This record gives sequence, structure tokens and C-alpha cells, in this order.
Amino acid sequence: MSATAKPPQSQSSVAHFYRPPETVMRLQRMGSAHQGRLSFMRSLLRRLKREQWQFSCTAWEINEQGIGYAVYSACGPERTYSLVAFAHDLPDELRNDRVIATAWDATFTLFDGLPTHDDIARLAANVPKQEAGRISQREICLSRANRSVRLFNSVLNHLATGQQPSQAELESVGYLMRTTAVYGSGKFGAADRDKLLDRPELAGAFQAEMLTVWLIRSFTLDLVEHLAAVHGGEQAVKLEPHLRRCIGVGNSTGLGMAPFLMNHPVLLNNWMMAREEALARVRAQEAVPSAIQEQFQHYLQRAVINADYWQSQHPLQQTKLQQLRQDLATLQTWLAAFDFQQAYPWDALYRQAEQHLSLEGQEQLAMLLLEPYGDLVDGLTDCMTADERELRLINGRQSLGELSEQLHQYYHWALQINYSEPENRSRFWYVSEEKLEPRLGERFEEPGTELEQPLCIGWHVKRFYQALKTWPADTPLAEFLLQHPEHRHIARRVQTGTQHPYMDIQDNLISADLLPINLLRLKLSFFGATRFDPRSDRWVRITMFQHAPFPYELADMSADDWVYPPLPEQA
Amino acid sequence: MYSLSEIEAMSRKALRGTGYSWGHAEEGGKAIRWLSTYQLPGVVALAHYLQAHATRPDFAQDPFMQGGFICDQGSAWQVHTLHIAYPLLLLPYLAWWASSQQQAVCVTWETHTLVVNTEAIVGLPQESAACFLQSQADIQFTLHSSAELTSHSRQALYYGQAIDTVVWQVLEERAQRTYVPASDASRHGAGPAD
Repeated sequence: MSATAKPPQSQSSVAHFYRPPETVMRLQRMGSAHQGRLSFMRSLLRRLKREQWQFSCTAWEINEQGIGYAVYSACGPERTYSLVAFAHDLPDELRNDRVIATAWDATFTLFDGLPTHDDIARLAANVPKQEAGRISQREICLSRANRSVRLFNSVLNHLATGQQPSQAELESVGYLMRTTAVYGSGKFGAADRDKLLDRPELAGAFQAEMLTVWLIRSFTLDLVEHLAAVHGGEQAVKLEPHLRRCIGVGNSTGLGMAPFLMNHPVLLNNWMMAREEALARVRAQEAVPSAIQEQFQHYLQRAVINADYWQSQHPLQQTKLQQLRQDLATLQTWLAAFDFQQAYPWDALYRQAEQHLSLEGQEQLAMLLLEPYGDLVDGLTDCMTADERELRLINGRQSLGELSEQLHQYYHWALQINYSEPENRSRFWYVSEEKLEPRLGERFEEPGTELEQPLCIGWHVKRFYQALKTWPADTPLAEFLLQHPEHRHIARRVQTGTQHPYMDIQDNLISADLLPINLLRLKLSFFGATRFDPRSDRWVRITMFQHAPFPYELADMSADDWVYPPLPEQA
Repeated sequence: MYSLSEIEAMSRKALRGTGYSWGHAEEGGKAIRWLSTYQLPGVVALAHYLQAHATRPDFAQDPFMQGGFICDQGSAWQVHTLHIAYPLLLLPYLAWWASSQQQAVCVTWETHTLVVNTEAIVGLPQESAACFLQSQADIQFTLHSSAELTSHSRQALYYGQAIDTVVWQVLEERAQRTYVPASDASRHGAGPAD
């Protein structure tokens, strides 16, 4: 297929190839986001390998009932971190993925250093209680996980009787345990992020949480093999290495994660800008050597396998998966006849996809395009943080007239929604007394609207605009805010927004048709999650680190060639 | 011990539960956090303040409202004397106000003189900072060079702060007012009973 218009000479810089906020900051596209090179799991493993971290299981005190604790240590060039894992005997009827659960199959903390016996005793008294306990600044993350009972038992039984489970069975679930929360950043007494900012290994976004999950993965495998040995004695075997790698860590995410994107706008802006810059750099490649073409083809084929393995029971996701599989087949057809001699071939391919593929297909392609270009884009992970300690001061001297113009320029998406239509404000976000869980209620049916959280950004922008329009245009904002403190937070936000174009979700966050899973998927894609499996409109299961190397094999394998399943001859 | 994140979040919610706007509450949370990084009794001051005022006090004496207004004005703010409730709570705002003008601020109240910017404080007494818990005072402040803040200054620490349970509970009680009581309908609003 031949190229359409060539980019004008004067605009062949990378900036020309950016996808604008009004394209990418949209819920439907966010809800089709895929992991990519810049994801936090991948940047973690690249660093751990590059810096030659050493790993060991420094304690295994798990009894024959599968109860006790284990310690896994990760030693870097300057510091050591330890996952302390507690295994419990959880009755089936208490197994619950909700934030409001009070008991779990396993609980964890990432300890800053090597724990002493006193540390373990203190942690044993608190970590299993999770939110009801207290941890200290020596702990960096707090987490818990539940078994995927059917797969855990099936693997255990196979191994105990000297057999290997089938790869298909392992791929169909993808994990032995799923985490239901991974807390960091000072929660429940843990170390504040501030403490970690001058540690290169943890300064990046969610690196501590990803390290915690990667070590949890090892624990889940060691636990099932331990129990298989207990049950099967000499007959028992361990999982073969390639099957072991089919197991990742599941995660069950609900609304608890959703407000993050609205509450950390500058961080979100920086993530999105890094990702879009990466894609723009690839689209700005004027020529593509055949070696890179082949690499892309290779990853595309593996993405096809990934899409085949990817299962979901949810009708919405099933439709998206059908579209994705179709789109990947279409991409393969296009590539068979694609003119790589044209200028900016990746750009031509992407624009073709924008015209003809579903959002799932477009977003998958966008991330696949990055795969052969590690040298060009991996450094952008350094830009994916934000200093959120400082208060962003309101510029109270700005005139309401100027602010009004900026609202038209940057927030027209909010101004054009008619919030007096009930379906445009039919939801409200609030925090429940129960474990302080964020929830989404029905405005016209449930109590609590007077306690609504300010997450309905678009509505608040519009109300702000409507109020300030009634004042003289030359009034300083400070004077307006004296009389209208209820707009203070949104005034700050819109002033920040004019400097950070990718910080706001340009959709209505309280509409009747809001799908919170779209919010969850975007954040999870940055983590590096795969196999998004919605269980409702506000609850999603994912897999993390599936196919990744384990700590003991990281030195001998690529740190970053694992996300897509291997081609059959490579397995 | 409470982490700085917990201190900030609880302070923000306590202020919101007292009736402050979301904007004032978010600033107040950061103000208390800032005080805690210097091991100053910001949480204690906030608790005393909340107990003294069931709802917001007069604007003129309210450190959160005045502090916000001073920061909004930036270089246009020319007043250098205020009579303020719980002056410790105004200190972070003065630090932000000065820093936005690339300066420090020299603050005096009662017998204390401090030079402050967002990264350091000079003039803190070695002994207990209970002296900073006056319920009201006249406060004077002027812009000041940042030069002397490189020496003899207390730097921010990021190790959280020990807070008395009784004090924390004062904030928690106010924060509670921002939560919606649980109900069956509410439980369904977050996900299925998986």
C-alpha cells in the first residue's frame, strides 16, 4: 500500500509525529492500552540484569502444611532488599479478593535490607494483618495474595505424582497466586517515597512494587514445589524451566486503583509523554533497515500467539480480543506487501492502522513498533517520574479573562458536555468507611453524594468556568477564589493543566456509561501487565511477569525478551 | 510512627471533614507534611486547632485561608504583619510564598525568629518545640536572602514522625466525616463478591 502525504520537510522532527492529547487521553483508547518497552516491569528487569544483582532464598521456614515464612534477598551494587513472605492456612470460604478481606493465603512485605530474627518476629505480628497492622520505615511495600485454587491444586497434584502439567493449562490461567493489593509510598507506616528518591534502583515509578511482585512469583513456585514434595515424597518433581516460566503473578484490581490517574496528574502526564515520545521517535525513522523489519515481524508473530492464549469471560473483552486477533492478521497481510522503501514507513503503517484497525489493534501496533528500538526509547523511562512533594502554587494574579481563554483552549472537552443531562452526571465517586475503599455510586439512587470526591474533573471545570464568567474579566483569580473557595482545587488543576497537556482524561468520569476498567487498564499497561481479563465493568484480572526469567536465571537469559510467548521452535 | 504520606492524607481529610474546600484541604495536608519533615509539631498544632474550632474560624485569623491567599498573591502580597491563630500552621505557606520569589522568609513571633525556605530552616531551638504551639500570635515576616540557609539549618528528613494516638484520633474523627457509611448497595459499588 503506497504512502499517503509525506510529512512536510519543515515538520519532519519527532514532534510532528506525536499523537495529541485529544487522541490518547480518551477512555476508550486508554481501555485498549498495551504494555511496551517503557513498562515498569521491563525497566526493572533490564536494570537488575545490567547491574548484575544477586538473588537468594535466605530463609525457608515453611512446614508440611504450607504454613510459615520465607525470605528472598535481592543484592544490588549498593543495597539489598528482602521479600519476607508469610504463608497461611486460609479456609476456602474466607478467600476473597476484595480490599475488605481480612485473611489471605499469603502476605508479604519488601524489607529494606536483610531482616534479623527480631524483624521477622515484628513482621509476623503485623504483616498478616495487612491494613489492620502497622509496618515501619524499614518496610517498603506491603502485599497479599490468594491462590488460584484450581491451578494451584492441579500443578501440585501433577508434580507430586511425578508429572508435568500441560502448557495449555498453565497458559489458560497464567498464575498460581494473585495479589489483591501492593501498597507502597508510606501506607500503613511504610517508607515514604521521599526516602527512596536518591536510590536509582527504586526512584523510578513503581520499581519497588514490581520488585516485590517478581519475588512473590518465585515464592509461589517454590511453595507449590515444596508442597508437591511433601505430598509425593520421592516421586515428586519440580516444574520444567520453560513451564515454570509460564507462571506469572496474577493481580486482581478494582476501583481502589482508579482514582490514582486523577490524583497524580503530573505523573500521568509524564508517563503518557514518555510513551508518546517513544512512538513518535519510531514513526520519525525515515528509513528502516531490513534487520529491524525482521525483528518487527518476529514480535508481531509472537503477539499473534499472545492474542490466541489471551482469554476472557467478559463479553466486552471477548469482542475486543476477536478484533485484536483479526487486526493482527490484517497487519501480517499488510506487511507481506508493505513498501518499506517509502520515507517514514512506520508512520505510514501506523496511519494505515489508525484508519482501519480497532483501538486494540492500534494500541498493540503502537507498542510493537517500539520493540526493535530499545536504544532509541528505553532511556525515556528516566522521564516517567514526577516530584509530587511540592505544592503547585496557584497563580492568583492571573486574570479571569485570561483563565477563561485558557479553559477554552485546553479544557474545551469539559466545557462541551451538558451536565444537566442526568446521564452525564449519573455516577459519583466516594470513599467508603469500609477499609477506606474508593467506590462509584449511582447519584440518583444512593446516599452519600454530599461526600462526593472531586474526581469529576470535567464537571468541576465547567462549574468553575460558569462561575468565573459572571465576574469582570480583569479580576485577579485570587479575589475570585476568596469568594469561591470551592473552586480552589480546580483552579490549581487547570493552571497545572496548561503546562502538562497529557495530564487530564478528556472524558466524562461520572457518566452513565463510564467503564472504570478503562482507567485500570491504562495504569496496568504501564506496569507491564498482560492478559487483561475484566470480571465486571470495575474489576479486572491481569498477569504480571508471565514468561519472564526467574532471579536465578536472569544472568543467563535476556532480561527483556519475555513478554510475548516464544515462537514454537524457541520454547 | 506515621509516614509523611499518612500525615498528609489524614491532615487533608481532617480539614475537609471540618468544612474546608478541597483546595484548602489539599494545601493544608501539604503544609502539615512540610512541618513534619522538620519534626515540627504540625499534627499537634492541627489537632489543637481543630479542637478549638468546631468549624472554621474567622478568615482573618485562619492560617489555612490566609496562607492560601498570601501564596495566591505572590509578589503582590505586601502586608508583613498578621494576627493569626496557631502561627506554626502559617509557616509552610510563608516558605512557599518566599520560595516562589526565589527567596527565603524571615519570620518572627513571640521570641522566635526563623529564616525559612522550602528546603531548610534556620533558628529552630534545640529543645522541645512545644513553644511553637501558641494558639494565636502576632507574626511578622519579610523576604530574606536564602544565603544563610546553607549553614546551621535543619534539613528536611523523610522518616515520618511519631504522633501520639490521642492526637491522631482528633484528626481521624474529622476525617471520618468524609467517608460514606458502608451499606449493601455501597459494597456492590466496587466489584463483585469475588
